[in-house]
Amino acid sequence: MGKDLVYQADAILAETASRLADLLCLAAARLKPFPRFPGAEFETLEVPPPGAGRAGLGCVVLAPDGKLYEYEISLVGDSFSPERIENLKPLDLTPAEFIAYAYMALVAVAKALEQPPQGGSRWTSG
Amino acid sequence: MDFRLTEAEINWRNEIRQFLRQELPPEVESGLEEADSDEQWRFAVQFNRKLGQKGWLTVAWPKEYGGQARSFIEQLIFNEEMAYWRAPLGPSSFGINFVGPTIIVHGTEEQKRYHLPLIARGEVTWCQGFSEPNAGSDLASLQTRAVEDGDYFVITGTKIWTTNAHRAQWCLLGARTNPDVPKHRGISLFMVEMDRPGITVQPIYNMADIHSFNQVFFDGVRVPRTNMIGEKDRGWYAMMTTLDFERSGVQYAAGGRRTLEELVAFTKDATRNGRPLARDPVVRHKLAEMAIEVEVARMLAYRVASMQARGLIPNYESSMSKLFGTELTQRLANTGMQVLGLYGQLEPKSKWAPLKGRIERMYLTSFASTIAAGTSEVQRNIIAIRGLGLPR
Repeated sequence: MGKDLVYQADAILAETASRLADLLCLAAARLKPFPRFPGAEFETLEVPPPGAGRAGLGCVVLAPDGKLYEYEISLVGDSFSPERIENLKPLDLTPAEFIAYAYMALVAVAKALEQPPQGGSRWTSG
Repeated sequence: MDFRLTEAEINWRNEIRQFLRQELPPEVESGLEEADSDEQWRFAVQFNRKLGQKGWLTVAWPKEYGGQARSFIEQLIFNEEMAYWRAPLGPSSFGINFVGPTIIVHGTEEQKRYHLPLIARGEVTWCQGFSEPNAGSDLASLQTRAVEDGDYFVITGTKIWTTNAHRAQWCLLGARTNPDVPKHRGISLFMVEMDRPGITVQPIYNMADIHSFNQVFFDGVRVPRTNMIGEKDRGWYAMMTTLDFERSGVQYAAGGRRTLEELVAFTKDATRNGRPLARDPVVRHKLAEMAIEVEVARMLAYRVASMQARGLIPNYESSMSKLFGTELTQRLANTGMQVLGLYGQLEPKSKWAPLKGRIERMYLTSFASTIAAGTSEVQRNIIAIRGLGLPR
């Protein structure tokens, strides 16, 4: 009987998540140059964890494609050349989780847009 | 692309070559790992100290920290020559490439004053304490705990695949100092003396029967707060922001070129069924293929260093170089095995082993090369996503 309320709520969440995803893409496109951790391989903007963030997630970032990822780093390598391997892992979030992270990402973009560009900007290849 | 070297760069290469010819006796040139025996390790330590005296361990470090601030191309030349001559850098490698740069960026003045000169002079061996049995190598997932106790942290946990832990005086270790925050925000970095009570080192022998890996147990190890690098809980960020060094993967091409030259020399001397091996068309074609691949690996590596020299950050180009270089090592080992025939399987200690048993050793150790520096699958994915624009 009351299940329709849950369905409606789910639909609203899905629609909101979809609209925020679109807004995130537009917001990411406004970051020029796109920020980067100094010395890191990928251009990314760190997304502060929301209060209702998913437990077990590491560093969530916004990439220039407007999508959210987990930034992973590993230290591996032989004795001649120890290496830091970096990876952007796609996130599989529920709409409710995505809304929370997307909001934090948009706040982070707004903050980054207000800050003057950092010195020593770098370029990616290709 | 124009990879011609300047006169100063050519002189730099000649200077390195002259030094290496003089300092590396034939038994070290055999390419056996320095971890093989105490004698080889002692030689490697002495050799590293000589490099340190010349300032060559820190060719990439900034000048204010005792480095030479060499350009990316000069670093590439140095790394290429070291790999070609099979210079044993194991005692200093982790300190030079990771610990020093981390201290430079995040350490206190006191930490810099004490540790950087020791590392630069090749007087200390560091090991890494990041990989864990239940966390893999993902830094944010590590589970070793560090609990505050006055001016100390008490460290409890296990690290694995710790190269040279049995020889190192210090370990750069990541430990969880706050379990109640997102996993990358609760990690701190510590410098731990390996002779502290509570540390147990257990050997792990690899497929070639070499002991360089270890599992290290930390059981209530007390580490002074002054040994923490950077801010508490910010260790993940500290490891994320390091200095930019040459990372072309040129060592695979350089080591491959050396092996190829030795295989070519072997086929000129050896006979099979009364006929010089060098006249066998199958052998000739195989070696010719390898020559092409070695040259391709070298060009891929030079492209990466040349991009870095121009202020670009290589991404899929690094992956191409590493992937091709590490898989080339395996293909060369396979080719070597075929060229040497049954004798190729003899171990380095056998007096009958051709090329001092290097091919047998290379064959066994090369399996790890496509895992250690990032698996081939990871590298191929990077090329697919970043190079070809395929979806993640």
